[in-house]
Amino acid sequence: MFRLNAEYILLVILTLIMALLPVVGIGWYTLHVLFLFFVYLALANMWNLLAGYSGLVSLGQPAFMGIAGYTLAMLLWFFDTPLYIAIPAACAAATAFAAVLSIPLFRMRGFYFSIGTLLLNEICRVWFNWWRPIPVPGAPVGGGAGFGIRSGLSPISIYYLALAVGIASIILMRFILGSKLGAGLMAIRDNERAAATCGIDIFRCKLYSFLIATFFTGLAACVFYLFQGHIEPTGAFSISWLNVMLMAVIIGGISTEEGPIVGSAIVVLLSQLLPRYAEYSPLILGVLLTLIITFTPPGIIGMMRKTRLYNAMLKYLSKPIT
Amino acid sequence: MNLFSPIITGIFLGGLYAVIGLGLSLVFGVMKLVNLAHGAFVVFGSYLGLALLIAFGLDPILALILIVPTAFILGYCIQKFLVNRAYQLGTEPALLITYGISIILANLYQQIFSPYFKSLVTDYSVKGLSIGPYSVPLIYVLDFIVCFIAMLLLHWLLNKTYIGLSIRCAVQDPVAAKLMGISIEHVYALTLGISLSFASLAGVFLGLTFPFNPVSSFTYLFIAFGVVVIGGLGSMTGTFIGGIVLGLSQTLAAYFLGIGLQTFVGFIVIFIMLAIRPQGIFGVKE
Repeated sequence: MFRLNAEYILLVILTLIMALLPVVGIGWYTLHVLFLFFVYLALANMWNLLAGYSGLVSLGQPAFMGIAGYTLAMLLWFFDTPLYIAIPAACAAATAFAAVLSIPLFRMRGFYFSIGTLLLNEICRVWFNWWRPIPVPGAPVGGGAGFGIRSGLSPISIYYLALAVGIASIILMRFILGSKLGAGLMAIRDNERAAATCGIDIFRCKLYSFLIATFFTGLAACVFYLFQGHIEPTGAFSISWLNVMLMAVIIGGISTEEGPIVGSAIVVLLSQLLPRYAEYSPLILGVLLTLIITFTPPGIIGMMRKTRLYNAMLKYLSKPIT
Repeated sequence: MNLFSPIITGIFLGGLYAVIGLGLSLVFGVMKLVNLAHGAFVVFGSYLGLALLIAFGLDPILALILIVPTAFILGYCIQKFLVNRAYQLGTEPALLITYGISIILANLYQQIFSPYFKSLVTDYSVKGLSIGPYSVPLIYVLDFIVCFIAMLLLHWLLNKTYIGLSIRCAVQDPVAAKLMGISIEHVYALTLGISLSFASLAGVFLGLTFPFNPVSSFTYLFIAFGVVVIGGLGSMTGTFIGGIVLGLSQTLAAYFLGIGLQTFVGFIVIFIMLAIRPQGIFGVKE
């Protein structure tokens, strides 16, 4: 599986460059943009695994991100748990939540699944707005819809965490797509009935991909909230997280491995490097999304794969898995 | 325990919810497409009413004469130039394109009208109507009347006109309808136009009843979807019952659990319905 080819050498070199950037003293602003890029990259990759390869158009990933973020915040707040336990525990909590919810969710088919997952965000947001776990004497409900997250990590080490999660998500995608699970998922996506006839356990394949995606989405969320330093319900369960994943994947190219990388870069650039038009960036992204679906549904990478230059470049790398 | 007030407001509110659901149910039934922009279309009516009220001092109910045709044209164009193209590729691109449209609209509202809550205030939107010893806001009664008018109108449109006939043909067999010389693209565009007209009608009355902001788009999308899911597809009675179930579940939840969990209970009801019986109480399994 891990043959040493041009691709891995490229990945290692790029990772090393990214890792050396803080050492050579690059500006904080650039570092912040790169940090967001890696978080978005992990989110987009996982959404691509769900929507692009498993046929699960889940619109409920912000709910799982919020659950992971809240678990992390509470573990740090109430129990002073060390980070190396708190982060895996937070991801495990999100995954357990997803596992329990998969029983009702997997009964819903097609767009019922999309709507059911979209509802999860709102359900969680209303619940976390109402639930105040910190008792306040005299008040009917306690304080603490929002939490501070005190990690004591320096911004540079959080940057390294994001880098690790982003790169790990790329490797994970390659690993899953090359495995038996990936082959099964793609067979299901292309023709569910034919796949079932060939002996693929549809429920199990979809469940595994859903849980893996949730775990990694939770991990990316933990890294983001460690950086942000606080969490509150409106932001945590916000649709804007969904917009990030959706746009990164669709603009870049759904069902391609390179798509989310290009897409995340575009989303970060549009949302961060145009500070003067910051309020218009969701609007610009929405228009871009609509135009891409209407005119070039395979996305930027899908378009580029038709050109000769890109294919000539691909010759030196291994064949893309679709 | 005085349950009269929450029950009566719940039923009246349910009527309004049913109008929100009508347009979504129509599009869902005709194109098998969940229009994720439906909530944004509902709020479109509210904001257009607000703009006309501020600019010309036009009464929102009178302004419906302008709002409904505008909404119809907008819906026709959106379907004709955007959704029809995506629809040829499958249901997922169509689903995602409606999501894109909802983001664009919600952000436009935010740019034009600010993210703060607004409401359509008229002299009759704050009046009360006394039924025996109890008082019900007059606007709730108006909402309920509008519900019946809208349902009769849609019924007439679908069953007594040529447009309705062609829409019903397109539902039954798109290929045969094409062979009979019906332009499916045109019928789909008309359907979204009609759906948007009803959405904007609901939007105006929602604006008179509740304050709204750009994020309300998503709340109303869930309400519309809940109405359709509870009541079942394609059944007008179902949509009406669905609206009332949802309205009652919200007002009763507010009464027993407090206002903070009002929407929570409504959403949980929809979620359970989706998992157990997505075809609705009155729906037939396909």
